[in-house]
Amino acid sequence: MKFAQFQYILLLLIVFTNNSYGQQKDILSNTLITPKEYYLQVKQFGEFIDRFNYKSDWRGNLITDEFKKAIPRKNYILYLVNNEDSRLIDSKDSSYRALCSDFIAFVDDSKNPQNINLFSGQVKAFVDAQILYKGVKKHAKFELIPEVLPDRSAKWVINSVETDCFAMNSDSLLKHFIAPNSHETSFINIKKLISVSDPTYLLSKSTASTLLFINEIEKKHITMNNTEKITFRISFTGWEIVVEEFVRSTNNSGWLISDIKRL
Amino acid sequence: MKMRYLLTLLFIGFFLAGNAQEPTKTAISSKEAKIVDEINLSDADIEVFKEQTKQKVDEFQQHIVTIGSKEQPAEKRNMAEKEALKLFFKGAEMQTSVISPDGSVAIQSRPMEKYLARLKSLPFTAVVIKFYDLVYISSFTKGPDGRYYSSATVIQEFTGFTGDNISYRDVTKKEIEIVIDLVEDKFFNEKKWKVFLGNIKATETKKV
Repeated sequence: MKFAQFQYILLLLIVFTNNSYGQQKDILSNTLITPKEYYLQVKQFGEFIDRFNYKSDWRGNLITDEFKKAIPRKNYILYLVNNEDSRLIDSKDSSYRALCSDFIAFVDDSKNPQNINLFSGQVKAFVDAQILYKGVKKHAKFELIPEVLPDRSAKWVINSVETDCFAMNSDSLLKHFIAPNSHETSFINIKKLISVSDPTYLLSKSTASTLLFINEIEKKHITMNNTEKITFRISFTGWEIVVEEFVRSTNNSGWLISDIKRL
Repeated sequence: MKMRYLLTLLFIGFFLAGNAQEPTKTAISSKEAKIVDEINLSDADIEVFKEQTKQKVDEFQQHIVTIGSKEQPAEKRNMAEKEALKLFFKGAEMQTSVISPDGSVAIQSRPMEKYLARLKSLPFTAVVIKFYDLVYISSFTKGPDGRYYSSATVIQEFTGFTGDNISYRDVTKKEIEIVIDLVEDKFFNEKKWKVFLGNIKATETKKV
């Protein structure tokens, strides 16, 4: 731990003493030297990925051998964890601290180092948005995933939408369903789709919610207001981490790991 | 222990000396022609795009400083407003979020035209806007429309005066969408990549 603290001081020293870089890049007359916390802050999610992958230093430059010698990957990843998490300073329960250490060791395994690839299916984004449904303020939670197209271009697509706009009728839920043994009869009763009054009852909850939301958008019953919060869930074999933005004026701020789970 | 600190300082010296060198400039015009036929971006192409993006962001920052400055003549500020709008894709919005003392966040979106017009008429006798020298630009990803997308982060310090007194001061982080589009240059009868700015998300990070 003492060594980690020493490296942290080293990192701060590098930031503090690095005024010459700012002066070289001083294009605007109204330019100020950037305070150190903004260099250390993880300003973009892409920057989080680059730092996690040990690709870029705190300036966004490629990590050099000198940097590697000064700050090993396991210590660099430690700076990406929200250090104000009460579980990290709980004197009675060290389980989350141990979990963090295990995860970092898993990522920094020299034989099988782990990386994040935005377009490999590891990353899901969850967006909390404020909407107006028939003039009433409501909330919607969008799940988005990156999709890569054959020409190697990419885009985010909406995977599902959950809202507090629609309520399922409990009587209809008891009446309209595909029986649990249907797989033994080649799902013959899937034809219920065309006979039930509301086929959305035969869909999964998230698909039904998404479909209803899109239908209401088409009918212009929904107005999109603001996005309020973004959360990223990143999965690895046997692990999942949650990344959120921490808006505060400290060295440990921006896009950081807010939770680590062993699956 | 003293030895360790001496070694640390020595390391910092080497580190800074290494980073003080300016990156090699790529010949933009010849690169541009090459980029057109490529699907994937090479590191050199990314550097060209990053340099162009930085120039465009600097231009936007300079316009913001002029628009906000009440010492500048109205004509100059109006011109800066017009020129700033030319940097954006049509329909770009500015989303601002302000943190209240109770921790709640107020979010508001405005069309870029309205944001810039509002910047001109803020209720202060003088306004000083300065930007930090840090401009972080993410990597570029090709979209289904063939354009390349990225985002740039800049940090702005705003000070509003009433008379000689500072009545408001904050630091805001701005995330700017960057779109690189292939546009036709009719004069030279060729297509060129051009950097445009898109939506901006502004987050107040602290009140000073």
